[in-house]
Amino acid sequence: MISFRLNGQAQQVDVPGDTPVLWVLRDTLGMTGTKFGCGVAVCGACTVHVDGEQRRACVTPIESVAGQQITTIEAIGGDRIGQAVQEAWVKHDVVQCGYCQSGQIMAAVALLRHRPQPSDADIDAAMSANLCRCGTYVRIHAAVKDAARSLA
Amino acid sequence: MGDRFAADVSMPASCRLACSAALDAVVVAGLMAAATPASAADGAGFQPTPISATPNRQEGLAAFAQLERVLLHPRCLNCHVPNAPLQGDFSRVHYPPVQRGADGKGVAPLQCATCHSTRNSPLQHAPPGLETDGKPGWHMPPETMKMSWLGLKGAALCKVFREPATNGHRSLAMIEQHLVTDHLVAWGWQPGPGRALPPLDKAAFDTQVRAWIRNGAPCDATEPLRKSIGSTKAASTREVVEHLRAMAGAAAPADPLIPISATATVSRSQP
Amino acid sequence: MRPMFQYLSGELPAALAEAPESSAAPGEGGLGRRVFLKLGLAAGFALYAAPGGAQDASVGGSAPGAPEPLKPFQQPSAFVAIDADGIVTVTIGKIDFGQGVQTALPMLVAEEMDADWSKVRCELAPAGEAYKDPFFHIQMVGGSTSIKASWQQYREIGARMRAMLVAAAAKQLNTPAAQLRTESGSVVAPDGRRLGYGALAQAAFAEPVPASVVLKDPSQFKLIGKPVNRLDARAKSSGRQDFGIDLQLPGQRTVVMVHPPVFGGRVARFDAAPALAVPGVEEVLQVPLSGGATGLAIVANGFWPARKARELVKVEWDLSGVERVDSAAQLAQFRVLARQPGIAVQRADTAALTAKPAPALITAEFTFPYLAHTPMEPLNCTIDFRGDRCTVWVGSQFQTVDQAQVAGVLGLKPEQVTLHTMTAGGGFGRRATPTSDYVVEAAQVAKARHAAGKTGPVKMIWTREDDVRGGYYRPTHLHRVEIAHDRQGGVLAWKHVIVGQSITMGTPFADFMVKNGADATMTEGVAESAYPFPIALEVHHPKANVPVLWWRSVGHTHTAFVMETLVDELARAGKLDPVAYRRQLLAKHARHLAALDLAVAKSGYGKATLAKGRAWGVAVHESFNTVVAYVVEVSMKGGRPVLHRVTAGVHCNLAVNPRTIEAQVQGALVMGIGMTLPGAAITLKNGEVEQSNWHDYRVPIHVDAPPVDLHIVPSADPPTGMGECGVPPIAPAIANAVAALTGKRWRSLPFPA
Repeated sequence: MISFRLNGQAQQVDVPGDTPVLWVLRDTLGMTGTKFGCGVAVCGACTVHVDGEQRRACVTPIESVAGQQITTIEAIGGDRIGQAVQEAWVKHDVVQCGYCQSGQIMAAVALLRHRPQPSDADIDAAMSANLCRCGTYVRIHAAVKDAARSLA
Repeated sequence: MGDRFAADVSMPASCRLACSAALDAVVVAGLMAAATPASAADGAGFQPTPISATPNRQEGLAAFAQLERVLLHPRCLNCHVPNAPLQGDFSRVHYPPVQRGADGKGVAPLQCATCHSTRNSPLQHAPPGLETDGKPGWHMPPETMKMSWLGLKGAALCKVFREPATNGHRSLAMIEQHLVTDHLVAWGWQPGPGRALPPLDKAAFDTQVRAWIRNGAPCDATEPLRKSIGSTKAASTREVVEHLRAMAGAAAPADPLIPISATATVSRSQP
Repeated sequence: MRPMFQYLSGELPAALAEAPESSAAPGEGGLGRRVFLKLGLAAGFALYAAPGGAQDASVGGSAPGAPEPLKPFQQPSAFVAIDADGIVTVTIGKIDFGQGVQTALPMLVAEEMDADWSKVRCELAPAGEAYKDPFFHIQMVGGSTSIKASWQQYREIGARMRAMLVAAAAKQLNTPAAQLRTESGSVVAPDGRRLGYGALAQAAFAEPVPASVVLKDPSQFKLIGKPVNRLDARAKSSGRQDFGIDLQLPGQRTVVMVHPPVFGGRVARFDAAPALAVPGVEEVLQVPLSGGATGLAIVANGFWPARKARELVKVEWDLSGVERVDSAAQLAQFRVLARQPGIAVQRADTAALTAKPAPALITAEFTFPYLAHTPMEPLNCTIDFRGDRCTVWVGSQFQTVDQAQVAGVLGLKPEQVTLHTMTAGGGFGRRATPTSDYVVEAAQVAKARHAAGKTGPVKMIWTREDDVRGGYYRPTHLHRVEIAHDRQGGVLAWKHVIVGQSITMGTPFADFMVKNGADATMTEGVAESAYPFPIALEVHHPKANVPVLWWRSVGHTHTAFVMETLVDELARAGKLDPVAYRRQLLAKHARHLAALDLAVAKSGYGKATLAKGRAWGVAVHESFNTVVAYVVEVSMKGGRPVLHRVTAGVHCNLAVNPRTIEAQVQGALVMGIGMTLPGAAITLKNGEVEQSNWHDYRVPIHVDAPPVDLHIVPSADPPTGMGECGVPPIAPAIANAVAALTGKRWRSLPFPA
């Protein structure tokens, strides 16, 4: 049994320790907001936070987060930065198909936590690790800047 | 590391006895923190190879030529670079764009641990991982001791590799300890599916490392052979503490952490 | 507005074929397909006759004034539901995979209905007769036609709904219908009494559906034409939007496939024991795959066990008799073909090429690689097969095609297959396969399990590797062009040969795409170019063992690059300004001029001085009846172009939702930039695809996207397409800027590293 906290609640799962957090979330716990895109941590669709830091759930074994707090897209709105990011996303009509956006938002929140007033270059550097096939990057960029402004 | 220690040494005499125990702890902690993080298993019981009484330069050079093949292999070279890490069997620019960071663990929000977790994935092309004390342990050398040898080979590579000024203040004993016992180095031989292995197996690599050191760690045909392997980290920490106590006037306590190596001598560059 | 072609093929399975009685035969009114092409209606899904006439909303019928019974696609009850609280749910027959129809199509209904937009919701319809596109007779999304093809239909639905609400209100308010007006979800009487749509709904649906309705004049629009945010924005920004891959059904099993390393390969032997040893894995089945191949299906209680098991299962493949395509050899073959006479698509006099004295000549060869779509959501399909019926959940662009093919595999009639349309994470054409490839694959798995006595739904998920290696690529192409010109912009002769696999041959779509062996999906953008060049066009369609498919903007992905860089080259050879040259050539094309002039005006081209080291690049191209012009600002760094800004001018006729159009252009141009990035290529060696995931198949990332200023030419004519039209002109615009900066002509995509 592996115990951890998920969005503030205690959680216990009985799965092999090498099971990636992504599949514990999606298949074991039915939380499908975190997405499977590539399976090799190159697209960022699976981004969650572990003890507040950005992690790619598709390659993070559940045993490695025992005792830690996992935060997912479903709960990030309860965080001050998360809420600002989500509101900016809606205001700027960022999403198209939407499949990458859970990861984009989690990455944006991580960026703003560490760099509350990111420059264009900061946003480019941090957000270039999250793929979007619909090409919503232009609006993501604007939304991140707007969220930063609203938090200042 | 050396500078930090020097600053710690100067103390008012009145403080010496009372402060020495606290100082021990601070200095030991400081040195341990500054050292490359390793799991508890690393280095325990490690015995460095002494220099032979009859070192053979040619054997030493031949040994380095072999171990160099591993140093230049992507499994090592990709992180022994001046800036951002390289990636893959073709040593390409790392995607996503990441930076070393002061501690070698990346710059938030894209730390190494974001994608490099506690173990390799069974899937090809997934980022490698390894565990250090239960946490993601992937990292590069820190900013202050980059230990880059990108673009170097032969004598030039050897000297950068050997000299404490460029190799992060490592004595020969510490170099051997790193190469032979560090689990991040050992990862190079268990890199996960789809990654090329270094040209020597680990045991053969270790053998060449020892052969090079034993024969005076030569880098070229003419320079003087090395006569001392210096301390390992653990031994040198103990020497620091002893030195401080001597200055403070207290007797050196028995230190359960640090085995005394009969052949260890203080290397000038060691803190 | 009458469709001018008929989707019909004798080769279709009986279930797919439409009864021909209601549709006109090809060549209606004496017009042949050739004339279609000249009217700019090439390649597949662009098939309108005259624009305008949208106000005539009389229903169906070839004899004006003789009403025919309403067809299913005209029935409000199939498209609109209103609950007691006045929430209006519009069910649309189109999948939304990002392009925004789940907002834009309800806007059409809501406008004519005078619904309260804040109470409008959207759902995606399952496969069904009512949801077949009235022009294509299949339920589909493709060719940037969703708004274009639905413009009339959905507005009529809204207008009919309004009429029924008013009729019901007339009875309840005891007031003649003509005196009632509608406003934001209510019917209002002259004395101010109001009845909300929620209160009227039940009665309204009991009213007869009016045959003919009057639609609003664009000047009356309150909603259409306004920038409206997406209905699904919040759900998609909080992880609450479910996609096909998120489906969770009781008793569900997850399936990961094992595909042969070469297309068409077959399982010779396999050892499933190591796979079955993984906890959670239940069985490993051999199943037929598309194209005569066979593979394995690993069935487990979740994705991860199946995925791990795939690394452990041992398979020996039988690759005998299977063509092993090699990209280098293929290119060499294409080069040889390009110098041989091909199928003539367009004839013109090319004597000037060999005239004496020799004129100025441009001889150019352009190459384009296979491209994978790689939509963000991996392809997936869930099937619950019960023997005498079947339910399918899939994010499909071709719902009724898939439904029929699944039925065929399972020995059912289409009406025994319920197919639910799932919101999909991107498509770009990949989810519209004439063979329903991955959907049929899932059906084969369900069939094999059923035969083995196993029950319960199976969710098949393709890994990203399956997707990158799974074929159905934009074909690889070679263009060979020889142009004789007078050094003043005058083109004396233009010989153009295109080589590439045909997308539609061997599919039912060949019927209207392929003429005399030439596939219009390959020649669009050249064959009916707006430029008055005397283009002699020939094609070769070699076959290759690599399945191919339409990729966002199809033929225009490569033809626009060729045309717009050559036009630029001709301008420079004649020392003419590239914009002025185009304006002169396009003098008769008002929409091209409007889009180009708008982009030019807003960009500062010709007025603003660029920073040192920067150059302008221009391109304008029509695809799917929409014209897009880009003016870009580029500099070079380390031999690679840096894109600083894009100014876009778009003529899509009436812009239903400018917010969506902006998003589509921003996204499409990013995809177009993607085509230029080194590594954006699928290559094969000895039959095996060399790429496997996004680490070695390059797609655009955040830093690749430039700032974009978008401007839409105002128009009230019926909307034309927008989903794909932003892709074609960006790559040539960048290449033209590079040529201005460096003098080098890049003639291939992706650009050199």
